[in-house]
Amino acid sequence: MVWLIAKKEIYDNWQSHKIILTFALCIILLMMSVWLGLIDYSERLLGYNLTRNANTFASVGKPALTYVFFDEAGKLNPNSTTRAASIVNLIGIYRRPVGLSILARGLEDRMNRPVRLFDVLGGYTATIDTSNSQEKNKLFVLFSPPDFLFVVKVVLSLLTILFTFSAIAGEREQGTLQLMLSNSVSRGQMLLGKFLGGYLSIVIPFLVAVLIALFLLARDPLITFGGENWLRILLLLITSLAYIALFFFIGLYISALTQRAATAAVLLLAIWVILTLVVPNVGWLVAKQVVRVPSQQQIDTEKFKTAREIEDDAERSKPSGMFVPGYGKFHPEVQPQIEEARQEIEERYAKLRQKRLRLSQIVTRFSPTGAYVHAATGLAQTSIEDEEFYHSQLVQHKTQLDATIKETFALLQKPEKQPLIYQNLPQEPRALRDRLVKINSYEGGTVRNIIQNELSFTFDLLSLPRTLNAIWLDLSLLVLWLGFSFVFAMLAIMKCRVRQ
Amino acid sequence: MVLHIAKRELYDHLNSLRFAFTVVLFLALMIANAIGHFGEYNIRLTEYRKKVATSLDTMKGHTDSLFSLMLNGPGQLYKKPSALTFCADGGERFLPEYVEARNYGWMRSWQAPGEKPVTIQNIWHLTYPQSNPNLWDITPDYTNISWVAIISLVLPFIAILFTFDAIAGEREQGTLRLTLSNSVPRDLVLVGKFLGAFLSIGIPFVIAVLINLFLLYTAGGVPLGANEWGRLGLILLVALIYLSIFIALGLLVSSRAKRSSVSLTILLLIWVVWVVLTPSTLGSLVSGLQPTKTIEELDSYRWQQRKNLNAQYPLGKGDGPTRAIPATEMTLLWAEYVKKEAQLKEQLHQEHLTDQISQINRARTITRISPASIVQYTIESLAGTGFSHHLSFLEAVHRYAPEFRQFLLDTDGADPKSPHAPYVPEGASESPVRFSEIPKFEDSNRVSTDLNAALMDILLLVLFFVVSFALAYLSFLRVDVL
Repeated sequence: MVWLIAKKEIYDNWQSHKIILTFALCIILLMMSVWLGLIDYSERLLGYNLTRNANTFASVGKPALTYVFFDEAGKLNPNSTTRAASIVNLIGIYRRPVGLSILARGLEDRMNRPVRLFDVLGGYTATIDTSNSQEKNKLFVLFSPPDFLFVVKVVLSLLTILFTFSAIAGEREQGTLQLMLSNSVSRGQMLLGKFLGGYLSIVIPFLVAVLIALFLLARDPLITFGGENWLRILLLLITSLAYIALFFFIGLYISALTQRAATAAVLLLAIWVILTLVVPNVGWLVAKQVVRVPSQQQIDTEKFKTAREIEDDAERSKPSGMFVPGYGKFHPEVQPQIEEARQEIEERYAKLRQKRLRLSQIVTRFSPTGAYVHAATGLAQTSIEDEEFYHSQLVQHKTQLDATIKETFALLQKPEKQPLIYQNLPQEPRALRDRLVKINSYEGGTVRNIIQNELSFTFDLLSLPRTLNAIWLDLSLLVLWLGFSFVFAMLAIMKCRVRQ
Repeated sequence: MVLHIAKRELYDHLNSLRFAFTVVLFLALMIANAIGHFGEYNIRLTEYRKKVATSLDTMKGHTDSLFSLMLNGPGQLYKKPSALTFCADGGERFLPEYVEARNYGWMRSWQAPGEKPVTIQNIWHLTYPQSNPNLWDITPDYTNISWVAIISLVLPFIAILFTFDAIAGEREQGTLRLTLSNSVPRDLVLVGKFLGAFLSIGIPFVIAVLINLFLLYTAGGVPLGANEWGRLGLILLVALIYLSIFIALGLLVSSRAKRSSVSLTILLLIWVVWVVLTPSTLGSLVSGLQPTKTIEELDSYRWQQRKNLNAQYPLGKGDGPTRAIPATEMTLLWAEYVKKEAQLKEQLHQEHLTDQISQINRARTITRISPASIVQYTIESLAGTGFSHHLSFLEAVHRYAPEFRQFLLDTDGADPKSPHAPYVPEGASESPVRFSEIPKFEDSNRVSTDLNAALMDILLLVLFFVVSFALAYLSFLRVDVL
């Protein structure tokens, strides 16, 4: 019986314009999103490869970089020029872009930028610098393309409403509800039949479009998905189907409650706006108001002030002859301390940012859309947890580089390998200059070997079990929402009026 | 007669569920917008002033000699925040907020036997940061609740809610036949319906806007002077024209569709495709089709250009004067080279910037087929934020840089003791510069330029409205009553 009603619904839907619209919209949007995502992904991959190549280049080409110091009168201080040498002038590290981010972009942008690790003046510690990178036209961030997640979150949930708003209210208006229920059909069967019929007519075009999109994705040479990634995609698909089903039940519930189909439509659209647009945005707004994070510029000012305080303290105890324009008096011996303070400030605000994101996550979970977004980004390895994991690895890499710098410096401290600046010593005899060049290139070889052999700078991704551990709450919230909406739809249909 | 129909429509709407929803939604969004921007302007303004003061202080430190000023330039040039950021702040958080006009780079020094040491440094030039460091602090799946989002997304949505059954619904209930059986011309019915819907959406919208402004003015620290009110009035006008487009469109679809459910489906489809998806998708499509230079190409191009320049000067590897070139001539050569080098660097930076900007402009031009984009760009121009303000800021910088250079040359020319070979320490005037005489950069938000930028877009919106209304009119004239 259920199947009979479902079949009737399917025939009804498949003869209407709705199904054509759904097909066209799903196929065009999903293909477009995957296509644009692939273009974007290939660009990011290119940037990643460039930075990796630049790593070896930077360490070979400029093994010893010299800082020149001035005294306070602005004159060159000849004694200071030979002092400081930098070993690793610039290492760009870059996490390989995640292929699944094509489907759900999430926080990928935060994890996908070149990070520079370099040793600070004096050459004792590494610092993480994420400020400037040039791989892409940044101004284009204003046009962010829709991904699979957006299409399901916004477009499919809207389509679901279009399929359901007149399912019961419309039949009541036309009087066919009375006719149907006068047969030996229980109301529960009617609900299930209506659900199955409508759901299949929306899900089949969706799945066809998904298959085409996945085919596009799979045949691209850049994409090399293993079994785990396909499993993730399958889970993402199941989650999406649950999300669509949930909106379906909400639609049936409202349609059973209201007298007229137009009222049901208005009410459903209002609910849709609140669930998909208002609650997620308000979540972020609340989090932004509760956890205040200063802008990067303010943080930089704070870091500069801290550095100055430490330098001034050092100046009081032991005056220095070195003066850097735009910075002030410079003390090589306190540089590690300053760097530590800087990193501490940066870490503190990174934690604050995480806290703000977490809070917004909690608020947005009040809407099934929020739960769906968190689950989907988790499965696509672009969620908040993934970013936290990425960040912890970044800090690890910094520590590792610190150790290497110390080691290499010790190696270079041997007298015959003292790095000198040949460029600024033109009146030295030619032979000496040649010797210096030789030493420098030899040291370059050392540094390159160390970097290639010991510093791999690879990033791990969260494994599937860890992802599931992170998103279980969101998944169970979705199931809970699904159960609730089903029960409510059932109750509403049980006691709904049959006649106008 | 029109008023009669409009009044009837209005009363109908006022009693309806959708009106209540509209009022609540507008109020909630506008109040959220106000609260979200409480105190923001003051913070940004203070920060801006502090930074400008620091930059000027640094400049003041360079006034001990003209050469020092020539070397170091005016410092960082900052973009001034607009008081109306709450209207449109989408791009504001991502765009760079300053241009560097400072000295970066190399220095060379040598000492000929028996003479004092000579140091040559490069001079300041303009460089453009690629992005705002806050760019990375963005949150996914989040639309900033600014006026732009409320107007460009929510307003058409509400218009669809109010119009989808305006004609199709009446036809279904049979009241359309009754109405038209009176001695009412069809065009009046349409105009009446249009006015009814326009008023019942427009009035709650304007009230919500006023509450928003009241909150921001009294508690949010946003100063609203005559200038701001003029801009806000124009923004409101743009919003109402935009609303009219979608009401006319709703009436068009509603009169063509047989049933109101069909009309709702079509309208929502139009909304999703034309309003939500077109702006972002088309924009990124354009960027994918016409990419700017990759960093590799850019680097090798820059490297080649600089090599060409270096080949023109017999300056070797930064050595001092040789027997072939005597010291004074060498200094003059360096002076010329330093100037040319800075010019070249600045030119290379500007070329890249122009590339990027034209890429964005292409995207903006193409996305204008969606009125949602037009509204966004118009409101950004009128509010003095976003990309259009960024462009006018860059223009101001490009006006200022030659002015500053001219001042340096003039001052050097006015000093009789100077050898008039600027850009090397020995060649420029050594007397201190009076700080008050140096031209200073100030970014301004001028209504006339902003309005100019917005004018074409406003006209385009009016055109959209005229076309959609004419189509609705024509289609209603031949609509089936049964």
